[in-house]
Amino acid sequence: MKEKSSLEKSIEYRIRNYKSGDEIHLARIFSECFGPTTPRLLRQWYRRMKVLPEDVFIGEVDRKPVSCVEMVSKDLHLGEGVYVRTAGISGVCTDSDYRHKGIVTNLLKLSLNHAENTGASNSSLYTGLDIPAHRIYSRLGFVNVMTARTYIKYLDFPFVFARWIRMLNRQLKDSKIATRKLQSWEKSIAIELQEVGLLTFRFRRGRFQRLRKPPKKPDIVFSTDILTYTQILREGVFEWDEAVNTKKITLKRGEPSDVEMLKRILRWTWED
Amino acid sequence: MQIQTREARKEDAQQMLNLYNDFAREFEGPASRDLKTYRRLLRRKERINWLAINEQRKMVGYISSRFDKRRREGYIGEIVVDPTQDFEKVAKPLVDRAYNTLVEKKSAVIAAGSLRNPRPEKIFETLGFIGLESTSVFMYTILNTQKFLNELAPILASRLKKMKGWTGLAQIECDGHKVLIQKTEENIDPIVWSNQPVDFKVTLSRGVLIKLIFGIVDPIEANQTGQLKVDTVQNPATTNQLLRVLFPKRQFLIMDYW
Repeated sequence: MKEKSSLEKSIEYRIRNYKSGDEIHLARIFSECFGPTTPRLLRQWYRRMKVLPEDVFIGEVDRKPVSCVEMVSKDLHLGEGVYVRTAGISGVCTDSDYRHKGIVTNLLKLSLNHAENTGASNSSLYTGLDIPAHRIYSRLGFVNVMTARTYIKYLDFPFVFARWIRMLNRQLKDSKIATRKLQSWEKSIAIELQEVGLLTFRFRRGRFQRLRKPPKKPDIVFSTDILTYTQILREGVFEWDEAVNTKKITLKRGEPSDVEMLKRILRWTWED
Repeated sequence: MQIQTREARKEDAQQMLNLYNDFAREFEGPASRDLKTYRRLLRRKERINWLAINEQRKMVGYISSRFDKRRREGYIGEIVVDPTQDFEKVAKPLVDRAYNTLVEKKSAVIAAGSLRNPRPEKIFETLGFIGLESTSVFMYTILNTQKFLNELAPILASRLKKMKGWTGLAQIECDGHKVLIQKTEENIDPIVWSNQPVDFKVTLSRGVLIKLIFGIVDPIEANQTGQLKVDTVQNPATTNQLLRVLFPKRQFLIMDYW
């Protein structure tokens, strides 16, 4: 059976190396993909990591940068005091309007080719197991070596929650898909956290708002513990459905479509 | 052993770098650093670095943490300890000091973690941290197999040197590319080509080679499950010993991100 291609209609694009001024466009794409950043921070990063213009590959459509892949050279210790140079791939991102067109796969192939031509025998990168790009890396021959383990301690959870709400609004400003999907969605959510108490927020008029006083009848109500909440929200290692099935989350109220949207908000994943 | 802690100063950069270099040799994966890395680390305002000093006034460890004032977020980044010292005995006062400093600064949340040193895990657990597996993953690929094997040759030769009582020609073959290492009574050398019969030949794929090099797969288990193929006239015990020497179980650790 012929496999259905995941690529959408192709578009005309060209690939070139970085030139001064690109960081303005790139900061916008980076903010959408990785969280808030600025052109100044990008310039600082390039300087600190000694990234040369020929190490940055940019895909552009109608002379506008829409995708990027960078290469950072590092020497990694592979044993017995011997360090081997690796071509570190970073900053892999595409404007959400131009995804599923194979642009970033092409950029990656060119970057790896460039790395090999400049003397690197290997390449490495950091990514997430749960993001679409992981599939691309696997197809290009990258092997999972090790996942991370994080330790966390909350000392003032209400403050962390308030900051998370502010962060959502900041991320929303940069995310075109999230803005589209949340356009006509206006709901309130109550989270009963066993160790903290009741936390409430709502999405209204295009903004997330923390509610100091819980609404009389929130649209979604669920209870959980701080560990499960962190696993879903911060590290993404626990799926909502799995948590519900194992009774780590008790969903007390909520329409299935609203819960789906809440899952997207918690994980901040908007791609279908 | 009495360990004292004090805040790091800019003149400690060289010693911190030396300590890191000794520490990095214990693991597979750490990136090489230079003096600039440490000068920058000690210059940055948001960084809080503590040193562990022993009775002889020698630096035996350091911890690097940072505090984001606006977000009230504390982060314990790396704990580096002299490999000749007891890790926990040196790391514990460092973690306590960094943790207390971050609490004093009114952190709302403190995070710690690395890719991936299991040694400080217990210390964080006793301080009430919750441990979470993460979906962040480090991925690796070989672009030029022959070049990579050539780069590995000195590492493999140095390891084979430790194998007492064995001499012969060893060959590691990966995706049709190979590296040959000749061990005699006197010396050990990677060689380019030989028409001598190979005494110990390991054939494996790039994926398995990566996992063996980073110490995340057991070579004997890989042999038993057919992930790698060994052609040799050696008895099974020597075969396993050779595999263990070439691909020792090491801890993977990366502390630099890009």
